[in-house]
Amino acid sequence: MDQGKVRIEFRMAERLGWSQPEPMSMEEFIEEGETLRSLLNRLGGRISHFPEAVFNPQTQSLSSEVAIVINDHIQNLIQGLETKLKDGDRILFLPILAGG
Amino acid sequence: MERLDGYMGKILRVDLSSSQVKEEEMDVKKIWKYVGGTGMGARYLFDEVPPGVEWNDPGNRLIFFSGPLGATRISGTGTFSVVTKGPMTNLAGSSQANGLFGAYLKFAGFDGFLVQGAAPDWVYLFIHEGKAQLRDARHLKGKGTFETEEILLKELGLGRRGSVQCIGPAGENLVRYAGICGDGGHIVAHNGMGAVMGSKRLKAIVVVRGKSEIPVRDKGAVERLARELHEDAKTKGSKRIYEWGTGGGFSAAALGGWLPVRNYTTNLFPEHERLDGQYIRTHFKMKDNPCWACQLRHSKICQVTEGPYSGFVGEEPEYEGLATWGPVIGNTDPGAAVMLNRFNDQMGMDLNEAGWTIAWVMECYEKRVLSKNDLDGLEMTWGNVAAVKEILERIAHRQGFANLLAEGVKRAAEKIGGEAADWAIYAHTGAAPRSHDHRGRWCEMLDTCVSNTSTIEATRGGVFPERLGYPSVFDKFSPWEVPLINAKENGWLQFVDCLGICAFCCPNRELTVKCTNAVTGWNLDLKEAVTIGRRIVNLLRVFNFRHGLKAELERPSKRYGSAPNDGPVKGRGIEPYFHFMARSYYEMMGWDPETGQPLAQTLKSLGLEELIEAF
Repeated sequence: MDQGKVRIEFRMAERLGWSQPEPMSMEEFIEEGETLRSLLNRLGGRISHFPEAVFNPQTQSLSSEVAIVINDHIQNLIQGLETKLKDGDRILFLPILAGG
Repeated sequence: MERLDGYMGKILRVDLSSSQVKEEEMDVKKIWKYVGGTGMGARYLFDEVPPGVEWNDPGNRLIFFSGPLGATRISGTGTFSVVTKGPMTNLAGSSQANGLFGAYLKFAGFDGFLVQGAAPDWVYLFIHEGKAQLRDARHLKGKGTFETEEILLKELGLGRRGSVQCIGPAGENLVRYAGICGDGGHIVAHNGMGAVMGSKRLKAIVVVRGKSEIPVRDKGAVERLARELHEDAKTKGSKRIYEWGTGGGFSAAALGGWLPVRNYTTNLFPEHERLDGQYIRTHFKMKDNPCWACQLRHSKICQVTEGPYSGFVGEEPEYEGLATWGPVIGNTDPGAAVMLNRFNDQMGMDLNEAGWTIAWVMECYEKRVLSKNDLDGLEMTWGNVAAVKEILERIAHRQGFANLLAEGVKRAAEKIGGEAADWAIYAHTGAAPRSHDHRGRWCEMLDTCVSNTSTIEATRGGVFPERLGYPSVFDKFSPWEVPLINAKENGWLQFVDCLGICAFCCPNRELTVKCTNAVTGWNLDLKEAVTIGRRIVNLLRVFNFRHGLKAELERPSKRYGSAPNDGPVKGRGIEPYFHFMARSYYEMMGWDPETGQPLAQTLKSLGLEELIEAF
């Protein structure tokens, strides 16, 4: 049963093979007790390139080349993939670039 | 000498004290162990610069090298490395620049050249069709880097057939973070390469594109692999850079907590969208300025189309230029960032050290530690672009108070002392970091502090263990995981810096090794390539210990290692863990966990037995 919605924003069109201007935003319903891991698993089954570009549901591994920020906090600093999501959360997917 | 695929087989030795230039054959055994670029430079540095020779002594060497991929059809192979004992750390320095120079050097018949001694007056080195000579450069004294390049190409009638590397006023005046600039805005920036060149009174090097053929083992395979490597870079590993330049990661840096803002006094920069590469490339007029054989074409010239600098033409700043001349100094106007970027290049300085130094002055001014009077009439308020331009010029000429700033932020802060000394951002080995907020990138902060060249050695913006076949990083802020990943990664980047190729053009490691094999006829695998890189890391490390490195210097300054007050990484500081992390890293690199010195068995495993007794 849906318990709320989170807003997801991607700033990594090139990794996902998208040609739309950034940021690409979408809203996603979440269920009670939903974690970042379960959301990533769901997106991995639905968005093409997501498994190789961001999160691979088979190996449960998050790419080192991606950062996830939830409500302005880097996800590693909360509870990692077990972070509980709640209605109104804003989730950013960011590429880690080399600089130069 | 028998044919050596990928190499011209010759280097030049330039003795400025005796005004002699002579050719030397490349040592094949050295090539197998050190390949080219940074590796060859490191070996010559170790062999020819003993302890006691300081950065500005004539006995120091300034070593330029291309690599086996240089001047081939592979994308971005105009890159070259410069290795020396650098003034920021008085330890080893290695820095790379892209452009045309590395390729033209090989077409002129040479893999590299070593500069030693010091000239009695200003000279430039002219390399043309397998010959080289020193020429009078007194008429170029005081000229900026772009002017110098333009004058030389014009008076020699070369146009695009010539490539120039030169120093500006900063290098002439021995600003410790002077760089070597060429090919219209590429710069060998880190650890004061331009100051070493200035100490030798070598104003410029001109290479004429010759007609030498680059010997390649398997031309067909090189053509095919070059296409595959480029396709991979364009569609995968460097896709964002292909589309938006390195500035395409600017907004992500702001939102992820690794954009440096106002000397780390905050981590917030709400104006980030206007300085992102996407904004610049969709609002400013852009023109390609490609490097040798480059199809990625991320290097561009741009014309500002809005704001007070509308109409100004300069190189499109790389990410670090946008960060430095934007948030680091509190500026929000992208046009001003383009202008300052070009002006700093014209003076010939490393923008990272310049930016951190000026940002520290701005914080001192805001907190009334330094007054307008102290600063010779300059009001160094955040975002005061005109004052920044003026102080850059004064630093380059070592005028007034700016003479102190020409020493870099660490030395300037130590001189002013008091509380202000704690506000400076640097590693205790002597140099400031790249223009990132490394408090949001622990891998790179650890790397910057413990690397042998005082800038990134194992990491490149992030860490990419999957590309070496290791599992991904679980927690980028883990004191346990970060040193482990850095130690595993270390080696690859140093190998790439041996090849004479732009790192953006070869994100695919397997293909890069295959390209190297196709050019040289070798049979390296990825593991062997990383081992070559680790050999170079350890060679430079032994050099550094012989020249005074101590483990206690390999740590961040107080502000650099602090916890952010706000932003995505708020409250999380590396400082409580740093000693443990450095110690863990040493251990995993095969170094003594207390002293950081390579263990005998580590040196032996890398074929560096002769260094065991070198400490």
